[in-house]
Amino acid sequence: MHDVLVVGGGIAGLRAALAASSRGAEVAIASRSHPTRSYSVAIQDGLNAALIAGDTWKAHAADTSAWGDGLCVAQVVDAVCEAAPELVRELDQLGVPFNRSGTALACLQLRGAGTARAAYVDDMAGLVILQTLYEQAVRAGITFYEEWTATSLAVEDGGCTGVIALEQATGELQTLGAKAVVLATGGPRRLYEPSTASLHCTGDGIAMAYRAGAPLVDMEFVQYHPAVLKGHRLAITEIAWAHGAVLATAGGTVTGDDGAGPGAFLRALQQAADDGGVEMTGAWDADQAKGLFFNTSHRVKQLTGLDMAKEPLPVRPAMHRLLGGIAVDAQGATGIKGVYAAGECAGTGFHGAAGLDGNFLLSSVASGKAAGLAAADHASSTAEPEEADRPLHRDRAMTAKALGRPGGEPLAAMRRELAGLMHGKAGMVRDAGGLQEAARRIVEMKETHGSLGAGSTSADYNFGLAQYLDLGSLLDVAEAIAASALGRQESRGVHFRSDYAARDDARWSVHQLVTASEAGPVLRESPAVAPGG
Amino acid sequence: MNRFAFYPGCVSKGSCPELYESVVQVMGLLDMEVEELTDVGCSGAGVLTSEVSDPINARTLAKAEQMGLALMTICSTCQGVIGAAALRLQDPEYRAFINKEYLAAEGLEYQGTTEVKHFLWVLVEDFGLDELKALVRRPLEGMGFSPFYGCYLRRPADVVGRRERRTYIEKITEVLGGTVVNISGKGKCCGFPSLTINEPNALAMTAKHTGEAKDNGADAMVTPCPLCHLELDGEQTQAAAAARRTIEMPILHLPQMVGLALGLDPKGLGLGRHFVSTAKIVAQLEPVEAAVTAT
Amino acid sequence: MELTFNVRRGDGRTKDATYQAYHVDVEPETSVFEALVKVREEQDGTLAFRGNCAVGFCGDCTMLVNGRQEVTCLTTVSKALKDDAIKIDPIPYAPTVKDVMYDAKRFIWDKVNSFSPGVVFNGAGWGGAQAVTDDDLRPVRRAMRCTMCGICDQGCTVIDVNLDFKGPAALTKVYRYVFDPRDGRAKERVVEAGETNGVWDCVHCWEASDHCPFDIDPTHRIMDLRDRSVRLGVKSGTGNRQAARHYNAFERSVENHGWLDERNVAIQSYGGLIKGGLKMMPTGLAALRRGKANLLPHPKRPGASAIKALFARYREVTRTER
Repeated sequence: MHDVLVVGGGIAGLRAALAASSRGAEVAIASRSHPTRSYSVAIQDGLNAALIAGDTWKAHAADTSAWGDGLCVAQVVDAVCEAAPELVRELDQLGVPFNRSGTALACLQLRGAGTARAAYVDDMAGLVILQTLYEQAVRAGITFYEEWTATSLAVEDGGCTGVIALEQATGELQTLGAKAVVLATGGPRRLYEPSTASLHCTGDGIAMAYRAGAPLVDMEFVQYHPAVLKGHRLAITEIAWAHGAVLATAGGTVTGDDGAGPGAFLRALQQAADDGGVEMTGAWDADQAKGLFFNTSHRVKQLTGLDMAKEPLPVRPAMHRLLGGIAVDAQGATGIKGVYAAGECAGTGFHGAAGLDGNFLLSSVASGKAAGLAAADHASSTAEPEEADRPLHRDRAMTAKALGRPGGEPLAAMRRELAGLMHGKAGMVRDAGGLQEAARRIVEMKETHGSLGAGSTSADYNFGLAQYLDLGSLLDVAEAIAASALGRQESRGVHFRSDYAARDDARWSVHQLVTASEAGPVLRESPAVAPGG
Repeated sequence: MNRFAFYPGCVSKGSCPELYESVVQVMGLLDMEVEELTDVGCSGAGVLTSEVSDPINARTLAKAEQMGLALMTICSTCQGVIGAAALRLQDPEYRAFINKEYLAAEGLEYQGTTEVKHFLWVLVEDFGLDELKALVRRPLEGMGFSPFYGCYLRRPADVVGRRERRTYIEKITEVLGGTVVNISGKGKCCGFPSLTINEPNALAMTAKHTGEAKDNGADAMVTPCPLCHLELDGEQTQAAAAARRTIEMPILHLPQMVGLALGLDPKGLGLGRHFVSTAKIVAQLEPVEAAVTAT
Repeated sequence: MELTFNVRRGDGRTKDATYQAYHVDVEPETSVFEALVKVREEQDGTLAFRGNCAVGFCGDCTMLVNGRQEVTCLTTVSKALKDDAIKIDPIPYAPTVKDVMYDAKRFIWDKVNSFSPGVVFNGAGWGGAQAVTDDDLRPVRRAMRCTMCGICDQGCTVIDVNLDFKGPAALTKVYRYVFDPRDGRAKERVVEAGETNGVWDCVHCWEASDHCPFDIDPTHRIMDLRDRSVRLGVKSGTGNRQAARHYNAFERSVENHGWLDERNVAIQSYGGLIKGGLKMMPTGLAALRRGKANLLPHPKRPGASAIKALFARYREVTRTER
């Protein structure tokens, strides 16, 4: 039995593991792929932190709250923004080669920031931070369960004794026992098309917590990335914006700086993309394209043959981030004792109703560290619990059944439909009718899903089984998103209801917690995001 | 008439005298003049740190520059290492550093203008394939040759330059009437750099390439690099033994193949000096009416 | 557009692999990876291959596409297509796990993690007296573009004959530490990198640089490591002194004669006159017989004294860092 088991090997998960390890805990990471293959690797921007002379963490907090459209949890925003400079310094000392200006740290002014505030690593902060944290995790002697897919939290009698996980190479399900579990499983990008999804962005950790009874929070806030290469999933780096990228549409130039807020900006872009297309151009030169944007421009060239330094790029918005997630307090504790959550799967209240570029990576690092420390403390004050075997037997029975049922094309068709449904009815523009229709259809899909399975009995690397399990997770998350979006009868941040187009502070300065039940999702309003609130 | 500052390298003056002799004979036949640089040093062969080999090579380049000639090499490794140094020395700041710290003591200064060209490139680019074809007295008909370049004539791209240089041996072989027998390892490492460091690796490479040439039906392999020759010829017997097979693949230096087609005497080209017998190659040659002698 | 994938099936032990044909309808700009995911999701959930991010960062989707190693999510089907079909194989230098999935643990991670991982911070952050500059960090960032896609290792001539060679990807990781001015363990690291199957076993064939999809120039990184190593007075690991013997013999020969005496360098590299001489005896005798060698001592050439002077100067110029 491990002291702390982290599920997910991305930036939040590795940061959590290192933090727990630094407290003397014995730590393991279970991840669906090798840790450095996690989605975090594709994040290109940087981390906001008040590091430039004249900037203050209070200014950072104010920008964050303003962008969050009145729904950020002030206490969390203050704590994260105040800690941000130290979090960046720690990463630098762990080995992240942040760009410098001379001998000082260099910062970029990203959209929504009042000043240059984002520490960056060319256009590959995610890749380099992930690699660096992995280096340190190996150095710290952390145990890795690579290519293990978690299927459930091993929860019995209100306590968690670990995680049930499937070893992909053998098809064996086992309980990975732990005194404390940190979920760092990322977001549900695969729920939407178009999106910036990688294959493992299935919201599986969110679904695991939801099924185990933990409340989710702020699930209605789904944020699109404004400029994703058309026909692909590659987001054009936010750093390009900092260097004067311009989005041209048939109706003229669209900028995010007109004060209308991120939601309106994204909706205008979506409209333009539907009407005639959006092109991104920049004033950058070949040297910048080769240096600062090397990673982006190289990939753009590979995929489209276009030269970013010379030619406009066809782009369109695509679903990028869930701002809510498993409801957690400032230490990352979820509604289940011994279970913590960090990174994109966690709903901390930091982003509020709209997330700021440069705050996502920061949030992953901050929440990862906090959850790792709290999990280690929990483990050290907890006696080794008896391992529950009911959850393991339940999951073994479930997968055994799934192996005998048909899968493949019906599952693929269902995900295609679900992704279209979510984009169309629970995407940038929503209304009651559409959301009710989506919710109804999700219920039907869940039923059909229950009659499907892996499509083969293959034991090793059965991707059909993964496909079946993933779709189950996506449907659970979809249900929570649709219910939350239907519940919030106002427009705020990236949540826009065409039938309630205005922000309504008197009624809706609250968060919505959503919990699973036999009868479907149950909503509860709360002034705080924390599960107890 | 073409003239070159000739950099023979260490091996053609040591263990592969037949390379030196055959190059000199062929250049003579082609009426191309070489002026040998005798007071310069080893390129470092990619073994020595570039911190000492760059000054040595800058000195060589400066001497060729004083003569107003391009530098001709006859070894892939010399070409690659001196070529890479020449590329680095294009940087004015670095060149100034090398000039000041190293060359000034001898009253030398490198201006950065020397072109470095391997004999293979000289044949194609300065002499010409058509011109070469016109001189063929003994077409290598019915004989299959597997080109083997030596790494540094293939890579790195910025040092090698023109992409078509990667196919010159094939073109020359065809012009001489021979058949190209392709092997997948033609641009790979022969194993020589590892011979004295990790011998099993080196022998495995040698067995792989010579074995592939044999399996593909080549009569001989041809190489523009004496280090490849030392390895593929000199170590072939041991390599074959380690791989538990017989190979016996003759390895020709590029100028030997050219010389044979131009009618030069096999003995004069040093074909008798190889470890792996070239007798079968020699036996296949058409007699030439009057032996050609180089001027 | 409609196209056919011919995909290698079978586990790692399967000698004569079979190819299974899958027909799929995708857009011309769809990547090979996304097209294969579509095949797997719609037609065959048992088809094994890796890959996650789909945008060329995670490095997990490398396969052989019509015989060429590719990051498959950065290769469009229209570019890959040959006669309406695309043949998919696992990269051949690595052991195969199943279908087109290669053993990344054996091929990459065990080697990467065999070198002491993680920067050991020496106090040189930003600001303050020890601060590093962006110029110091730029080469580190370039090396850290590496996604561990394995393509350089797939091109490596040494790995081709010896799977245990650490390979350019793992050695580029060592470079990332040794050239990071915030790490205080350069010397220990170059010693580690100098053991058998490390930097000195690289044959500098430049294949890695030719192969790397992200312009990291890994062969150059290995040569930089060797240069730094020599500067730090390290010419081999501690377990096997062969590389150092070779380096020193080579250096002595060029320093004293201006030119290389291959014969003598070989003898010295093999461990001196007795051991090396015996080993070289058969080759040496054969060479003598064929007139490839003589018994005369290696002559100094004109210019030898000038070369010797360059060596003296080199030692002076680089002395400060030894």
